[in-house]
Amino acid sequence: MKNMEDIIVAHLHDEASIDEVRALFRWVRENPENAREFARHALLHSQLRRQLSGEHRASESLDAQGAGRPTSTELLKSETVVSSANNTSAKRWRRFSYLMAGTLAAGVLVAMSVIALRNSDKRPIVQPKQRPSAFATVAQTIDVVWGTGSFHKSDRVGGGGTLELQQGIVRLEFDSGVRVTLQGPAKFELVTLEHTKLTSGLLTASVPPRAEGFRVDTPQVEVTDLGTAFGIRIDDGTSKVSVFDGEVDVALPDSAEKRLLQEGEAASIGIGNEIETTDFDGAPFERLWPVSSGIEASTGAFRFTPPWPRRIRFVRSDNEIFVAPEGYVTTLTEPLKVNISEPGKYAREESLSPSEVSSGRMVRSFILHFHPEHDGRRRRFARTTGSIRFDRPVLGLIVLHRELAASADRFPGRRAGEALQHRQLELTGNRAGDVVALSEDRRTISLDLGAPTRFSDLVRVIVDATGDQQTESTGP
Amino acid sequence: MVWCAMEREQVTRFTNLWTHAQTSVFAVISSIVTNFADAEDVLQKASTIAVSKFDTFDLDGDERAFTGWAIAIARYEILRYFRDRGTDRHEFVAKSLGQIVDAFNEIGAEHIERREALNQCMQQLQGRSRDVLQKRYGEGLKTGAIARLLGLSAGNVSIILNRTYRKLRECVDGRLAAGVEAS
Repeated sequence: MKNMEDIIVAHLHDEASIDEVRALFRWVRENPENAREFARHALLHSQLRRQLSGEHRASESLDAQGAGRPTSTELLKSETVVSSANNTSAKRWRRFSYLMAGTLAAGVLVAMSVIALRNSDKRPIVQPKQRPSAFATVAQTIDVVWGTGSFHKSDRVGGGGTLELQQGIVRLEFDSGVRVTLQGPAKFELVTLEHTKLTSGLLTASVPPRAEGFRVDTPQVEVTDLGTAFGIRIDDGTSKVSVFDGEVDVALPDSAEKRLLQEGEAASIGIGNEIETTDFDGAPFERLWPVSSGIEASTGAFRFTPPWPRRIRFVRSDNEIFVAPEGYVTTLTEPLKVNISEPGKYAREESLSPSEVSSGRMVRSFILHFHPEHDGRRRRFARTTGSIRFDRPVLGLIVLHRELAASADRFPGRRAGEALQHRQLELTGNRAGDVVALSEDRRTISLDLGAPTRFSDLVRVIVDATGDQQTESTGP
Repeated sequence: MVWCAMEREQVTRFTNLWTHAQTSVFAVISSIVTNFADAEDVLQKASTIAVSKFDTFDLDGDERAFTGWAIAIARYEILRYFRDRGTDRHEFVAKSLGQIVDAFNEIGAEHIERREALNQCMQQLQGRSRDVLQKRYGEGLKTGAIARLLGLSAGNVSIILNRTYRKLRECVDGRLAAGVEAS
């Protein structure tokens, strides 16, 4: 049976089985020392490639100058037993041996062209004001009183800096797409793009696919995200971790004890204590939901649902409109039909402004749901109003059954019962009908909703997310 | 003319920083993407993105900060590589990549010492061990191809390769430990 070093070496030579690779990565995740040992092997592997490919390149260069000695690659090429795959591999490897030197030259060339392009715009190369190695942006602040230091919207932060809030709420957007919202009093250190420390306060983190591994340390516990949304509250020397979506690893520092928490689970950890499972309670994070979702303000009946429970179709209230974000930022892979695409007030179906949001667009989606109580017998009618303001322009509203049902699978997660025909706006123009308005700046939606027995009002809001980092693509 | 001065300064800065960082960046990539040719492609993409995004890197940042920044770029290219191929490795690679990147950042300070120790240790290698290592790392040949060239069995090449690698690893660690004790 292979020991772990054998598996590491086999893996680095691309000769390990899938089960061995799975075991290796599980071992790497078990503790940081394992990860460092693996990194040292990989560094040696990389240094060997660099050094020996350099020697090989020098040797080939001498051969090309007249020595005439065939290289191993050429010898192999002359053998009929060599597969075409190996041939390709050898050719590509030769390309690699030049790459370590070549990337540098190529990089310089590209840099020069980028700079040349900039010069053609006659724009100076201006380094934005930022802290050393900044990797996150202050996206929103609400009623913040800072302790030490002071930050404003759009400031870049990171590089070991610490945010200290005496009160208020701050939302940070990391370059990796991670979205962290803090509620003061809180102290939060940004160590690296993937590693942070919360010394006190309340935090929620939303970690999109591809940014998994984001870690928040508290004095009591290390919380490592596995692609999820979670919250941490530090209170009286105890850290409470609540998982809203996906999974997180919670581990005691300097101890082998760790536990995997899943959606809807919570754990409490005091200094030196064990990890204790506790009841999930989203209430402490209630003030953070709208901010972490990119909602600037609301008036009237709006109530923000936590990302738990996921299914909201059974949430009912006679006077509240529930707001639920649907997952992470999505890049549309095909056009999306919306019923309202232009600012204005809409009370009749025939006056809607249908259009399509084009494919390739980055969007966030929200469900607005008015779902009054009913006992199934008495005839009832409920009406409510309110307005909600987003931090980005609204690209379109989906308010009719056909488009709601058609778009349901494209924004999975909330299952608001879009398949039911009576879950839509009733734009009849009469007193019992619904009225919806989109402001001229496209950021505010006003709703005046009425819902008779068994009916509920459902709106899907498509908000522009251009420039957000929480996307599938990170390329230039 | 002011522009020209800035261009040169920026290009020189990038060149110096990338020279320092590229082995670490490739180490991260090749620790996950173990097919040489594919790892090469990922490195190339990461370098192109690093150039195009260089103006978002704080020019006051040091070499270590740049290496961390470049590794962060490489991280996304690694995930993109697995995602695009839809392999069953994507899930557990994604789960572990954060810890691996952290580990590389943590051992970043050892990089130069380890390279110097490796140079010393390589001088002790001779004969068949050196040939096999050269063919594997220098020419990028797989075990079977090396076996055909040297007239050995693939198993034999594998044993020589692993033994030589282990010897080098122990030599490098020994030199570092001796260096720490001496200091």
